[in-house]
Amino acid sequence: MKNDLSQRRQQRGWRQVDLAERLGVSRQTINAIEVDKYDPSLPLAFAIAALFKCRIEDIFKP
Amino acid sequence: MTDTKNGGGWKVGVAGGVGIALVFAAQAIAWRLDDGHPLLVGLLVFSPLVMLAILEQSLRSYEASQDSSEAERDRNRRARRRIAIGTAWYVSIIYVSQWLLSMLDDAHPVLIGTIALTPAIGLLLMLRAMVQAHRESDELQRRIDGEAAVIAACVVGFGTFATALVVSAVRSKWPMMPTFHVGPLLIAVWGIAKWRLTKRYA
Repeated sequence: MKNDLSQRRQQRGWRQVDLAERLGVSRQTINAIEVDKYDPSLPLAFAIAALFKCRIEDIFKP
Repeated sequence: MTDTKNGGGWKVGVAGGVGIALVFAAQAIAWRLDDGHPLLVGLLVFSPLVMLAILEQSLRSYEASQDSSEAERDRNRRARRRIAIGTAWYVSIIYVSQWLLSMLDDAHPVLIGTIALTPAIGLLLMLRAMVQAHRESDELQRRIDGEAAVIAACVVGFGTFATALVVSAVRSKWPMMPTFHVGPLLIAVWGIAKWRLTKRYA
């Protein structure tokens, strides 16, 4: 699954570790999602969408 | 652009290797010494603890290089402390229990069995620490741990089964593999698989 998490994070000037702390996951998890090597669970996808104030499908594209 | 930081893992590997080499060197020296030599127990008990201390230090510097969050570092520190307590228990008690057993040839089997099992409490503490660390880790880490556990079970299961087939065919030449080795083998293969999977998801 493709996503634009990296661009959204950088627009806010956050490092991966900053986003990881906001979401309560590890920096490695954020990195794996950004490089499309890992699809987040549904609860984490909802948390990401809520943090960026958008819908899940705005960030993640099949 | 990503701010991936994958360097530094080799330092942990080198520290682990140095620690294991230290343990083997200590065991080799201890083996050359007579029973009851004052250096013997010291070497056998403290060399694994020195290895743990070296590994702890290198893991801390690795975490710093990985830009881990404070919550993550706390979680890892808790897990390592729990595992260190179990390991310290095991390496301290194993020699005491062996020494006691050597003096209890004619004792009741229940007493012998109980003393023989006391080091296993340390192993139970280590296993509990691993389960707690798994529960506290985040979803990617849980996936990696789970995949590594499946790989370890398959590799060790297949390996011991295949070994048993060969050994039973040529049993007059080769000794049977002791079941004692299955646990450490599982942990070793799990660690290698976890390292490979971590690189895959990086």
